[in-house]
Amino acid sequence: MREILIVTRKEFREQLRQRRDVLRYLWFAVVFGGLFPLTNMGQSREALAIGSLPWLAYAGVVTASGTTVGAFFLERQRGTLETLLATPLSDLAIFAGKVIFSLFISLLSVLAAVAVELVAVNAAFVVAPQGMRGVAGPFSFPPLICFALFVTGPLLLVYVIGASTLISLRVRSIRTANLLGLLSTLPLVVPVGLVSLVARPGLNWGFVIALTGAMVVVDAVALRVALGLFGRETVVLNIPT
Amino acid sequence: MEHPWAIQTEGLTRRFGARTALDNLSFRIPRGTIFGFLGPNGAGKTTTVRLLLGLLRPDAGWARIMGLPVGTEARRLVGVLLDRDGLYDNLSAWDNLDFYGRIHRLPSPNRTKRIEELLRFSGLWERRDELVGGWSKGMRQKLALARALLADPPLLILDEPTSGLDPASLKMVRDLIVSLAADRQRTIFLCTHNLAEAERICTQVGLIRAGRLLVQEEPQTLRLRMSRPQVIITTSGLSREAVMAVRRLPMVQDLAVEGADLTLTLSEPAASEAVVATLVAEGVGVREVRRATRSLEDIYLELMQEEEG
Repeated sequence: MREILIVTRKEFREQLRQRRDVLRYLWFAVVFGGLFPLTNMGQSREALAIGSLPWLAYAGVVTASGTTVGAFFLERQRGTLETLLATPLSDLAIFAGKVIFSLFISLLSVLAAVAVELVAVNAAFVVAPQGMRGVAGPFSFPPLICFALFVTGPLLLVYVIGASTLISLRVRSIRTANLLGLLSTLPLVVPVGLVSLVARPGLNWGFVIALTGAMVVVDAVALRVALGLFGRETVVLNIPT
Repeated sequence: MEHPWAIQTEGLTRRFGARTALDNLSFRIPRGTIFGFLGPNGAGKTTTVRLLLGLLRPDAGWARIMGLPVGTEARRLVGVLLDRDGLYDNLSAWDNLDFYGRIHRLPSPNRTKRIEELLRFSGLWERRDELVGGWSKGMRQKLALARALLADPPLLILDEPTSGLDPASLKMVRDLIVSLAADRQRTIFLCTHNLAEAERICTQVGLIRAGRLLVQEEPQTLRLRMSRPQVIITTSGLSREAVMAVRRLPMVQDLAVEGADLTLTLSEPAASEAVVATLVAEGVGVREVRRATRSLEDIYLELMQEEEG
């Protein structure tokens, strides 16, 4: 565990020094947490909360893809990964350290988007109370939405991190890595779309729990395949020049 | 009891598809040796290093580091500087070393002390908080070398450690390598293209070509073994007849004339006396007779040509 945290700590120090990336992640929080929910203000509170769920998740998904590409592909490209693999650290420690970093940052991105949405919607409601149908009082997320956001959501992020890791370990250019990283999020349209379309207007616990279970299986497969590809030999033989 | 060999390989073989990158490589490097691993590009040097570090698996054979099979425990005993320096551009010099200090489990007070010691020694202390992304190749190389020394490992594997260094830094690194091996019985496995450097600092050299080790010897012994007796005779009043007379001597295998100097390859070292006698008999003055020495570079080129032939 100590070794994993050493790698995670390094990722924090290295990647968060890149101001442009940090600003980009904050921008995702503003766009997905603020702008999109505000365009749906005419709905009821419950519908708004459910409708904003995919956007909030997507703030984390885009961040997860970016940080994972940074953690795996850039380290391969700059030749730092080979030196790192020549240390006593285990493959698992290096892999897990990077995955934990990406997961942590993308969860922070979701939290930031949630905070932005709460502030933006409540501020809009104060300014124009007639703009939203439903009961009076401040806008907040019901327990089911919180479960979907903070239990099912991280599982979606783990899938994205697993898929982006696979891509980052195979491709030979950063553009391809970024492009495929984002494309790998497309399959998420299925579960996320189902949540927002099938369950509307009422999102039920049965559906969310079934989706959560399915994501556990998908994550296990994605991480298993990604870790399998992260062997020293595979990485060294695929170092881009 | 300490294992006598810092590195030991037996029948190490590695193929990439149809190409054999390393072919039955067997060698032993005693502790405290500065071993120069020489060979042209694509000879198998990098593949050997990767196999020693456990970054690649052999198709056949095995390698041991300080008696341990290649793997996590063996990697704890090795400091590494690969062909790419492996430094993190977005970390400061201090953070780069701190990260590797943590990996090698150096306890906090010792780690701080050791990092300061190495940064001061490398002349990088004043710049410890700068991101290394903007540094020159020479400064990066010095920092990467400091990183390799961080855990005070008994074995250093250095791939072209002096490439890109200015003459002063080059001397510093070269002296450092020699002192590291002398002071602490540290073994240094040095991959280099710089034959003059290898000749100057290595206590043993290995020449590799097409994945096969051609020779492993002390540079001095190799030079003696590979050198046919060759003498240079500085003369006065050298005539064409005298040259012809010397050429006719049976022990003279080759002869070259450059001004007043005769360079002769002889079948045996003692034959120079007969050459001098012949010159004197032809009325030529002999001012100096000296034995010609062949450099490691000459031998390297000859071995490579022989192998190619």
